[in-house]
Amino acid sequence: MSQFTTWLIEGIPFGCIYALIAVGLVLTYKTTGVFNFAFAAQAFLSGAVYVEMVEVHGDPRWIGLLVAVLVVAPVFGLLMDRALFRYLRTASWEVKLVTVLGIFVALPQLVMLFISGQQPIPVTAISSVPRMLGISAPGFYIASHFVSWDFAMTAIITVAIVLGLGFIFRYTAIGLQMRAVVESPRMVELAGVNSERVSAAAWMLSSLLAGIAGVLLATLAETLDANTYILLLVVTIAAAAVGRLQSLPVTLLAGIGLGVAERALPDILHDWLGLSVSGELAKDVRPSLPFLVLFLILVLVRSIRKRESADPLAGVDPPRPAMAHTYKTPEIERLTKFAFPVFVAGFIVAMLTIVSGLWVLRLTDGLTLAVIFLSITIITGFAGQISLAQATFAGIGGFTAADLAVDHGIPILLGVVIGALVAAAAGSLFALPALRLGGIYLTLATLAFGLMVENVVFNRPEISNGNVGVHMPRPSFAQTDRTFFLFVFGVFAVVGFAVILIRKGTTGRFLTAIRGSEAAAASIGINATVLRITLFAVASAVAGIGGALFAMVAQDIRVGQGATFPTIIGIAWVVLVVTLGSRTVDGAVNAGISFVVVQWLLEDALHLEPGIFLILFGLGAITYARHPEGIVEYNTRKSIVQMGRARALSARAKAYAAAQRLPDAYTRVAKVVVPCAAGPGLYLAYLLGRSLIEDSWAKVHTVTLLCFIVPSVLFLLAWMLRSDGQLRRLGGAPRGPLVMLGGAAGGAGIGVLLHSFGHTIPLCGDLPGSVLDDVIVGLAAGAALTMFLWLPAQAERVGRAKGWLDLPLRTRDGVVPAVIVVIGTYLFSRMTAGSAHGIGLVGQATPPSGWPVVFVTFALTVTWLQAIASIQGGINEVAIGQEGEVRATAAGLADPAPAPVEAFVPAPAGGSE
Amino acid sequence: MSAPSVTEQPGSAGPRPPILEARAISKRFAGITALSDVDMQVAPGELVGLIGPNGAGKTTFFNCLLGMLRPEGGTVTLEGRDITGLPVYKRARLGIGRTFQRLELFSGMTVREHFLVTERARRGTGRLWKDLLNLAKPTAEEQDLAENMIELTGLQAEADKAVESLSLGRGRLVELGRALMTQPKLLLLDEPSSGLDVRETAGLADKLAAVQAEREFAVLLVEHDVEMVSSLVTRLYVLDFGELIASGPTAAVLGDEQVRRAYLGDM
Repeated sequence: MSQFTTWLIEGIPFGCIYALIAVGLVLTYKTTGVFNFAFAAQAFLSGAVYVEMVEVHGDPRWIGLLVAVLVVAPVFGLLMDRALFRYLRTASWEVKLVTVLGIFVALPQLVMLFISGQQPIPVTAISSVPRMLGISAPGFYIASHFVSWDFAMTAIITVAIVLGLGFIFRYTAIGLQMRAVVESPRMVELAGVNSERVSAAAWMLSSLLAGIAGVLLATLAETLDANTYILLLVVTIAAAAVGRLQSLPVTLLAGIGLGVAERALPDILHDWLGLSVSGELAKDVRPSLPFLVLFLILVLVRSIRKRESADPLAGVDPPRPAMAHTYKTPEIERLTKFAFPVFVAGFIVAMLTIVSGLWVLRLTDGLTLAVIFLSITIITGFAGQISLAQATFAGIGGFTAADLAVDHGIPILLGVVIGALVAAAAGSLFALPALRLGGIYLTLATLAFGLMVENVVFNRPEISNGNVGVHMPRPSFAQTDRTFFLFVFGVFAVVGFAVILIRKGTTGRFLTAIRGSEAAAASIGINATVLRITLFAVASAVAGIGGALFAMVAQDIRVGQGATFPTIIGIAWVVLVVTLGSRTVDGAVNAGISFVVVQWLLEDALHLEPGIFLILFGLGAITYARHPEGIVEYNTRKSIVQMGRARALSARAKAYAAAQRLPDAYTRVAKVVVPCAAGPGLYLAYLLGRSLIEDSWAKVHTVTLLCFIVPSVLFLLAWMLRSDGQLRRLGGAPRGPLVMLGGAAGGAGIGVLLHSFGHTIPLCGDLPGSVLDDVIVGLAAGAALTMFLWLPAQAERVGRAKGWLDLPLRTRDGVVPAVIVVIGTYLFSRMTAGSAHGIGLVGQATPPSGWPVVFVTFALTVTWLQAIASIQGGINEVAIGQEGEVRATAAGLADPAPAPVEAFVPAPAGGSE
Repeated sequence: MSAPSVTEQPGSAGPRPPILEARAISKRFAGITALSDVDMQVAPGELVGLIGPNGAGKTTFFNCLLGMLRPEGGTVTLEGRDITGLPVYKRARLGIGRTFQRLELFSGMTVREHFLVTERARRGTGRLWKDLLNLAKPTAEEQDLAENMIELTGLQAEADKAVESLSLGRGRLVELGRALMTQPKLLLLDEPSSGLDVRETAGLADKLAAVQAEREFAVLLVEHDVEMVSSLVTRLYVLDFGELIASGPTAAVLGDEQVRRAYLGDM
């Protein structure tokens, strides 16, 4: 029998698995316009449900199949549509991509948390699908080649699915509508089609396919492992690209072809090029074949460079907001000019003196990450592209510097510079062909490039020294952690400043122009391609520098298990940076620090399962759709605008008071915030003062804590009740007190429930806490939470009744304080339980590592107080009316109109970061 | 109907070589002929119009001149230099300015920033290392030029507003100003009146005529509004089904039988 037949028979079964997933990807793209990176995660979900039911719980196979494929999968698809993509149908490719990447990061962790656990579950013959159909033989022979029934079944199902889908698209109305909705949902709606229902159907269909693929895959592998799914997904992108994300039959053939080619490759290498099959290179090349194929297809096949079709009605989208610093008034400008250097100086002094060694190292780690993240700022924030290979460029910089220093004795600083240059060279070599792609295809090419380099280059023993890893020395002047911190801070400051200069300089202005309109930018002579390649090279160099510094923290670089620069982590990085803010240096800093701090907080301080922080970051990406400028940037802008608004309001109130008596509903914000802040603030001061006097970290004692915060909580609840009454008199809805009571009752109910599960909140400080304790805490938390949501809704109602367009307060403004109530209650329960058990948050912590807890609590409290202030501010505005509103008073006077609110929109730029 | 009719050829310019010359431009889309052997000449400082019914190939021709599309046959020369294969941005640097039928502004920038960024692009003095040394601020000269353009376009009141807040008519003026900032030898205008009311159209035409008289660049105007065309241009080309059916002095072309049938309708 010829060699070719062998390749076919042994390659086709694997090819069919590739084809199945690739067809799923193409289907999702065709019907939803989303390149669904989360497809593998969805498949994993169904696979995990099936295996868990059949293997662990011993349910019958057909029930498991029914639940995993026909219930879990479509319901999850529906959920994705209803909760997310329904709102993103008209969003740009970027927003959709970031959202699915978030799910890609979060979902496997969620599944492992709730279903399958952290360890891969072994899969036995019990799960086999052919057996369910009464086929008990393990397989059959084709010309002396054994073919297992599991694989044969996969092949049959794959072909059947492609035929079925072909039928749907060609002959049914829903198939046509699905394709049309992708082009322009708004146009389709104009044609009288309910595009919401169509896209929900599309998501359910593609999720169903993911479910089938997931269950089949689960039965083929020996263990159920999320990584198998993720790697398979990446492999199959190549097949999907061959089908140009459009053609199902071509994708099917490409998937099968890929399987065959992968089987044939070692033989070809051996026979034609004389490379030994068992040789190191051949071993590394084989798994990277799909990435090579993907990369070559993307770069070489011209017709794939189809531009994303622009929605003809895209013009109705509102423009994106200006950068936050353009909203600054001169006073705020002066304040930041003063406060920023003070803050930075204070941070450095603290890091060099009082911060513990562990935290110096952690924060330095965060700063080195921030340097890497600045490369994402350049590529995504400035050039508007998404690269998933930044971990790879960081690795190129790190490995180059380390290898040069260790093997050739080159000074490490020079090594870092050379590493940056090598990364820049690699970046521009990659960018030359790839940047013509743009959009989603560039993203795919970066992923292929990253995995290829990780597999072929980083794995070479000459580079990474096998499993031992490479030692990464620190510069001689920065050997201790504190001097090393200074060194990293210096590098970060230089790179950060450079990034700001690029944004403000010609390059940044050209990029703004290109983002505004690429066609118009070309018409004034701007060469977008050269600009993007330059930026890609600069970003690669920045990532290279950051990578070298990052490796210096742990002082070594590894591959394989516990790798320093795995491509997959690079995806989580991108998601985190764009979620927090990819346009500014603050965004990168926040991302770097929170990567470290949140991981510590969840895993070390709260002892939660590992992976929770990935879930949080992944799900955080959902906010990207609403705030593409990033959460940090959004909050900065919001608080600047709010400060301006508050000033205008108090000026107006002054003028109002001069003419007539202020209405009852008007209360000075300070009168509300100060009593609310007093309890937590005084307690914190007490705790810190006592710790300083005793020279050791004071433990939280529940009763003392309650003495301080109970008055504030009571005040808060009274304020809520009073404000509701005033809003009701201004025209708000009735029954506010009832809502509050309902919330309190609900909270108490949850308290009882949690108590029955053993979560006690011992208010008297001794164990076990009584159920009454949980009820009391539940009453207060429930009432506060509901009222935080209720009051802004009331204010919105009153504002709308007045016909205002620019509402001072909206319902969603209550979400943040409500969430903080939940977090606060949780922290409180941990603290009280801890002070009794001795294993709580602060209860057990020794002095310096208690600081971050204090800091996090402090930050949460400040955010919470800000929210309270903005609610009272909104109520005040509702009470005395908006700018320009004419109200005849008894004396026939018109409302005097000082300081316009609009005065706070763009002041000329020039703020500091 | 392939023979160009009406009177004889390019303008009064006589010995002056044309600034733009398109010879035998052909373009097909998947078997459909969008343009077949279209010739056109524009003399320096001349105002030329291009009209035709919807689907006649005006925009396709326009895009071939600009480099947004590659024609299958024919050549485009600018001042005697063959530019057929050049990308858009290079043609722009050689002196072709343009406006867009659907507004294409740099969202997020003010009117002044539009002009400043265009001036920087025209000079080609932007360098990454200059950005890094903080040498990239607009020079006094660039500021002056931008200020002049703001006055010329009459956009003083909106100069420091973000362009998103401008009306369509004002937006067109920003586009015109931006195109003029490139100091074009040839200005291509793609249906500048579309979406504007009568008063705005007239205002735009006046402004354009005034600036053109002062700066003496050539203009190629693609336009539906016959009134605007006839008030501005001296010579007219008419496209129908991808072929040139008439060219010559404006009045003569507009009076031509064939043109009336194809485009204006029997009156």
